[in-house]
Parts: sequence; structure tokens; C-alpha cells
Amino acid sequence: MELHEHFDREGSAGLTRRGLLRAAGLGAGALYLAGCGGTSQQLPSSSKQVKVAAGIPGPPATGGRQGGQIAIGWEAEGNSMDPVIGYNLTSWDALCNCITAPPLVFGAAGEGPYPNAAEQITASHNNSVYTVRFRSGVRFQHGRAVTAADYVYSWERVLDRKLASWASSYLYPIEGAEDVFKGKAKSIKGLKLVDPMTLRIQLTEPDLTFPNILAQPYMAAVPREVVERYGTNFPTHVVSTGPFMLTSYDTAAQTCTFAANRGYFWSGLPYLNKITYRWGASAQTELLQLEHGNIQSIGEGIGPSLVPQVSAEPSLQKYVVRIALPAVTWIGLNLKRQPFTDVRVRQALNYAVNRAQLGRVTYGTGVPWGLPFPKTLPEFPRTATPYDYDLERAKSLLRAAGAEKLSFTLTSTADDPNPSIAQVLQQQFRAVGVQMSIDTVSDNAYDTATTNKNFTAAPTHWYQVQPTALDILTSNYTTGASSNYWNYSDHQVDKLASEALRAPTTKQSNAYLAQAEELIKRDAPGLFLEAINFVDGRSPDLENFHYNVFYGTYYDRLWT
Amino acid sequence: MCGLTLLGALILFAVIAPVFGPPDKIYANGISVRGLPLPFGSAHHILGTDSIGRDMLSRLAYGGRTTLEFTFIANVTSIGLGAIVGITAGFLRGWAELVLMRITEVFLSVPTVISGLALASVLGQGVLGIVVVVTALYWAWTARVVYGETLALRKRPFVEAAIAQGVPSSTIMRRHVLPHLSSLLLVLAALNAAAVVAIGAGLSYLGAGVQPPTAEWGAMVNDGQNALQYMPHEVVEPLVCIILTVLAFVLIGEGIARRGSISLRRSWLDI
Repeated sequence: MELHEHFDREGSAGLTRRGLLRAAGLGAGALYLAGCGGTSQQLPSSSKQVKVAAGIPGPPATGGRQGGQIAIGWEAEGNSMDPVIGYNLTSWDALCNCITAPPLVFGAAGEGPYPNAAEQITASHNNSVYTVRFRSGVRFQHGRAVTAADYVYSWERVLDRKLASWASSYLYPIEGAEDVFKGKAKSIKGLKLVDPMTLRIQLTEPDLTFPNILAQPYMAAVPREVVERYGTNFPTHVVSTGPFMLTSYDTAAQTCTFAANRGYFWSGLPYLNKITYRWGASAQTELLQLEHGNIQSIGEGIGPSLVPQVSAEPSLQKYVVRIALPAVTWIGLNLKRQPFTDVRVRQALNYAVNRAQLGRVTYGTGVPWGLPFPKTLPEFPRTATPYDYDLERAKSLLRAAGAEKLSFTLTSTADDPNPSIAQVLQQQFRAVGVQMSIDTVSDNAYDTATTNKNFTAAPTHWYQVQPTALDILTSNYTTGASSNYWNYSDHQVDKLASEALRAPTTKQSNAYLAQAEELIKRDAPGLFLEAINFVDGRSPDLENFHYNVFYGTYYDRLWT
Repeated sequence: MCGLTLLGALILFAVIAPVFGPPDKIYANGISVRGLPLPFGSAHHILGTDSIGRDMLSRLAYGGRTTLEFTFIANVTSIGLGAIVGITAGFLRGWAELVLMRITEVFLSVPTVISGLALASVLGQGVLGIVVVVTALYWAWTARVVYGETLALRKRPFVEAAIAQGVPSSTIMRRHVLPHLSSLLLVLAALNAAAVVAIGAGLSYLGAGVQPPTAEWGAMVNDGQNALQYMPHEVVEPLVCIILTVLAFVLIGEGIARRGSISLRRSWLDI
């Protein structure tokens, strides 16, 4: 899952969230499946209880048995196992859950972030300076101890134009980072080594959310000597600090393997000896493989077209787990095109949507949700109430707007469940006298139409990669935001976004964001439809299965 | 007779479509509690429902209207255009024959489905798009056959007599040649219709034909394909309708051909 976009920034050498999602073949309602199952080749498991280090962030990690292995099926090969380059679903899963251990990590539900490879992070100067003390005892997978200088090297590597990292723009908040990317400087001015294990980070401006960047896999340390030794082959010989190390990569055989890093700094973990990735099978084939025990997890999840089949077959229910994500889907409206120049029309259509009926045709991959921000946001003091189904109110608003006989075109792709959603909405809008025609186009044509703002209405979705609504707000709803294809602009919303970013505490930041959500709901730049669920699938033979909404499955604390 | 009976039944099915209810109504009871479409033989929806709860019987009936509509129009236009080109080339000979037959051969060499998709992407979707695409792709078959028959008719004494008397070419083509091609054109029309049904459904299946929520059999096959394993009725029912329609036209064409010993089926349905 491409849950790695923070803010879409113009001029980034990297990809937009749209491009990343498209590259992984994800569409609206894409599902993430990252369960793990029993081993396909049963190795003797140790029955000895393992002593696990205290203080591991995330779900419970104790009580497991060491040994065993699992196989995970993927449709597509990872685009790269280099932490600064990998972005598609397969790579993201491997980087987050096997190869790397970034300085901080999010909790399972997206809360935090919490110390991981870093022991402590301290903010000062109104969140414009962060001092990070890295944990001693953290070693690279080839044995060398990690120091703060390794992070300086690794982060400068993210900005190396030759690598064309999609993540480079996320380091721009660090003073001097952009200069390095543009070739104006060789080192990041804002990074200062206080001592061998402590780094002082000077930002260009106060930023409460900067720690979220330290929780991303591209911020993990990689050893310079291994990078220089392998050069362009580093991705297939990647070394970092995570619980599993890449031990083989065979493109022809469409498989790679990860072995347990027994020097992992969270001692006692991982339990599994080995993880194998196998790619190249179709979604239907993967489902069959899961049923027959050839794999223990379907990496990308059960595709939207297969969810009904899974729902229909009782024998498959034991593999299925549904997980609420910090993600939403909505119909974006072009505010510069008729009939959506009038806010009353936009509000009316929001009231005309029967979200419960929509939920029935999306097979539990979404739940009704009539607000712009994700339904599940940690510590979010929501004050806005979702749009509900109110036909009379919809008609009344349309009458007030003098728009009782409207028509418009929805530009959509054929990706499931867009066609079903579009046809259901078509009928629902007819009940209030609105004729919606559907123009089904290719993915590329859809991207072109929305990027060029050459559409009237188009379905879209957003998967957050941070536990703050600033993620969706500053990408979609602030003036000129890179994914703001709707031409939406509200200066009050912009001001609240700025204040939320500069707020001294998360609580205060969220208070501003709650106000912003009220305003966006009122302005209705979109028809807010659903909060997205993942339909997770895994073998029931797994034990201590836990799922992180940003990273995926906690392989490190899984056992069989 | 069998073909006519079958076609008649299909036309009747399409005509009485309003009896079955609107084709795009989403029924509250059209989805089971598990979120699945209702299967064939369900209490209130005898042919089941589709993945968003619409009645299959109603959609099949209205789909028949769409299918028969574009079949009729596209058939008339492609046969008409083909006949005009074939007769003109076969009768006038010379430069007209050279140019028209070369153009015909170019169109005959174009792969049908791929060209259809490409054309549809330019012309847009919907019934008009299908009509234009099918006409563009199928007139050449008619033209070639008609050209051959016209060459033979041109040598007939009554035609030569008309030429000798100075009757204008257009009049000869219209009054002396065309009537003798009527049986052939009827056969061609029947077989062409069969191909039009198939290609039109194929274009809709590939997303280039009729757009939702308009019911059309090919589009219904596309909509239901993901549910084939657990709700096969969504695919089987429209597919059966397509097959029956094609079969009806083929039987009609063969029946007429048997009377005039013309065998064209194989080349015609080589889509």
C-alpha cells in the first residue's frame, strides 16, 4: 500500500500519491491484504519461550515461539528494495515490515509515532528544532553498529538526484535539504551531530508533524560501505536495521527471501526464521494458493472483484479480516464548472446520497461516511456531523438554488467498485431530478482529465500516511494543493491548516483541523461517500497477527 | 421458419419490456443480506438480480430493445452502403471499379475488433457509435459479394439491351440490376445482422459500446463476469440472449439461401 505520501509538493522529484497508487494498480476501494498464515513447509518450531526486549512499540510481542516460515503472494514485483526508491505495494510491505527500522514508528492504529531505532526525540524552539538520540545497540544487518552519522548519510542519499527518490521532497522541512536536492550544497545544513548518537535537526519553520517523517522507511539507516560496494545493485543486496534481511532475490523465478535478523535490536524478535515473497500470480490464483496453503497471505489483498466471491463462500470466511483504514472515498466536484459553482447544489447532492445503499454494493470494503476527513483519526475531536440521507432537504436546496433540473457527467474509470457506485448514484440523483451521465475512461485518461481539471465530477480516494488530518487537508483542500483538482479555495481553511501545522501540541493542532473539517463539510467540494476498509486475508494458522494501518502486518511478532 | 419464430419471440420479449419494470431500478430487496445479488429463481426476481440489485428479467428485455435497435440500423446502413458500392463498381467498371474495389479490399483487410475499439474511442460510445463502427467495418463484405453478382448480371441480355437502348446507367442499376439482387441482399442482411449482434455486444463488453445504465446484453456480460463463479446467471442469461439472436438471424439467412442455393455463412461470421 502506497501509504507514504505526506504532502504532495510541486517540483518534487518523486511521484504524486495518484501516480504511486496507479503504479501499484490500486483504484478506488483498493484493498490491502497482509495477513500471514501458517508455514507452507513446516520446520520444527522451538517450544522454548523467547525473552523479548521490553518497550517494543506497537501490539503485544511476547509469548511466541521461534522458528517457522511463511510465504506471501504478490501480483506485482516490488519496484525496488532500496528504502529511498521502493514505493509500490510489494516494496512498501518489505521495506516497512522486514528490511528497515526507522527512527520512529506509528502504532497499529496510526497513533504516535513512538521511538524505535531512535531512543528519544525532543522538540524545541516551537517545534522548529528536533533533537534525536539514537538507540545504542542498533546494528546493521551485516553487523556494524549504527551511529547518527549513518542517518546523515542515509538522509542525504534520499536527496541524491541520481536516485530520483519519490521521497526527497519530504525532507524539505529540514534546513538546507532542498539545496542539496538542487545541487547547491553537498550536505544538509540543518543536520548537526551533537555526539556520535545524537542528531540535532533544524527545520526551516515550525512543524509539529515532522516526527511523522521519521516514521517512514526511507528515513531508516543504510550503511555507506554496502551502498558503495554494490552501487546500482544495492536494492537486491539491501542492508538496513530491520527484523528481516534480504537473503536472495531472483527476478526470473519471481521470488525473494528474507531471513530473520538475529541481531535485531528488539531482542527476541522476530520469531519467524524466514519470509518468502512470490509474485506474478493473478488475484484469483492467489486466492486459490491461500486456500491450499501454498501461501499464507495475499500481499495486495483480496481484489475488489473477488470480495463478493469471498463473501459468498463460507469456507473462505476464516481467511478474512476487515480493518478500518484512515482512508476515504468521495466524488470530487469541479467548483469552476456548472452546476457545481453553487454550494447549495453541492450540499443538495450530498444529502441525496443514500450511503447505506452504496455500502451494500461495495461488499464491506467501505462504510458510509459523509465527511471529508477519515473516520478513524487518533485523538481527533470531531465536531462536524456527517451528511446524512435527506431527500427533502436535498430537493429544498436545489429549489433554493433554482436548479431543479440538472445534469452533469461523471468521469470515472472501470476499476471496481467505481462502475457500481456510479450506477447507484445515478439512480439516487434521479430521485431529486438530477441526471448524471457516466463517462467511463481509461486510467490514463482519468488521470489526465483530473490533473488538467478537465472534468465536472470524478471519483477519488485518499489513504493517509500520517495520523493527522493535515495529510488529507494539505494535499486536497488547501488553495493550490497539488491534489486539489476541484479548484477549492477557502482562506479560512488555509489559515486553519497553517495554524494546525504550527501548533505546539497535537491536541491544539487537531482542534484547528476539526474546525477546518466543519468548513469543508459546509463548502462541500465533494460528495463524501465512504470510509475505506481493508479486507485483510491470512491463514488462520498464524498466531499473534496484528496489522498496522500504515505499514501492514507485524511480521516481527508473528509466529506459527 | 424456426429462425423467424425465434426472432419473433425475441422481438416480442423486447416489446413487452415495460411489463417487467424499469431496467435501472435498484431494488431494496435486490441484494441479499450478505451483499450478494439474488440468484436465478428468486421469489420476486425470477431471473435473479445483478450486482447492484437490478432485476435481470427487465434488463434483458430492455437490453433486447437496444440490441435489436442497433442491429436493425447498422444492418440497413452497412448493407445499403455495401450494395451501392458493389453495384456501382460491378456495373460501371473502369475507374469506378478500380477505385471502389481497392477501397473495399482495404476495409476487408482491417481487423474487425481492434478497429472497432479504435473507432469507438474516436466516435464515442452509445448506440450511434456502434452503428457507425459496424457500418464502417461490415459494408465491405456486402460490397464484395454484390460486386461479383453484379458482374454476372451485367452480361445478361436484358441488361445489355437496356445499355444498347441508351438507358442511363443509374436507371439500369436501379430498375434492372437491383431487383435481381434482392434475394442475395436479404440473405446478406440476415447474416450481417447476426454478425452485428455479436460485434455490438462485443464492443459493449469491451466498454466501447453502450454506456451504463443503458441495458445491453454485451455490457451485461461484462458487468457480470467477475461474479461468474458464484452468480453465473449474470453472465449466462445475457449470453443466451445473444446466442439466440445470432442463431435466429443465421437460421433466417440460411433458409433464404437454401431457396437460392447461396452459401455465405462461413465467411460472414468470421469476425
